[in-house]
Amino acid sequence: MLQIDSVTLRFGEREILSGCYLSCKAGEIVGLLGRNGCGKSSLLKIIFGTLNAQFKHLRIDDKIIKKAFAGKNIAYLPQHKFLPSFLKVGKILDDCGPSVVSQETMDRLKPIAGSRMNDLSGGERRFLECLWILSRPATYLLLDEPFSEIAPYQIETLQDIIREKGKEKGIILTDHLYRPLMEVSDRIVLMHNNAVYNIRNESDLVLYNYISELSF
Amino acid sequence: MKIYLQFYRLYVVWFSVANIVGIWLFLSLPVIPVILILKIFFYIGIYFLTASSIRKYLCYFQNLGYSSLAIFLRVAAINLAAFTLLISAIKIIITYAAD
Repeated sequence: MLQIDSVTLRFGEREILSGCYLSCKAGEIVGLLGRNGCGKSSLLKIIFGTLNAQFKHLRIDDKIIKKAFAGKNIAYLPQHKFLPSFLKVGKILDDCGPSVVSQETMDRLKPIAGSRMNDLSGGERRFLECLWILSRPATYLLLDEPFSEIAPYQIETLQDIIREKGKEKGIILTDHLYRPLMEVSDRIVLMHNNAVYNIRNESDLVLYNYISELSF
Repeated sequence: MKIYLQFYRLYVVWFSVANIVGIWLFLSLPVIPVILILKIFFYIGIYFLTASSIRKYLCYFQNLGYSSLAIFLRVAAINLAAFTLLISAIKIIITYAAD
């Protein structure tokens, strides 16, 4: 189980996280919601080891971890583009393998297989980055806004892969597209006022002012 | 090795500049230890110059289990070793040719 607690993060005078706790076990998908600036992305970066918090207590299977990425236990999808621009799509697809890239996805991506990452649209690039991260052998996957920028059919494809991978891996994902997130998550938590609340349904999101009212 | 080549390819311009500066130093200061020390300082300069660009791809290398600084140091060391071998070979050839 991955557990992070007592996280303290300040940028100058501004306190972003204070005493925050989050856990995720292998075989569980945790959806993390919260308004802009509440510290969701920072929390994922702190877990991965890219961002240094003033204080944190990160454990994986009761073992204290300092730089999670060094142990290859955790893979992390950041919000920004991160795959080198010279890599070819075909190479990325080969790296991903058939557990992530189904025949149907392969057929859809065939026309761009010879292109380099630099030549792709923002959505195509994002989709491939998501696939690459989902194919990593790490036990825990951190996905920061996987559904943003991409087309509806790609969201559905990613949801299927996340559900499949979530059977054996622990997945923490955050996104402002809360419906696709809620559809795949086993447990949903909302970061609000430096605290983490369990969310059962959309009505709870209204209660905590994450959405203004229920819309169907 | 693949990961080093990928990193090298991303920053090939900077490493090429480092090698050209190294050759220029070799021609003007033919004392290898001094050249090596100056080149290490030059690498430090490259790291600070390209730090923001390295940060852009940081996550890719971290997802493969490496920190960007660790990769940079290893690639710089490989480049330095290859460059040293090259200038030593040139020096030997020049010496024997003169004889």
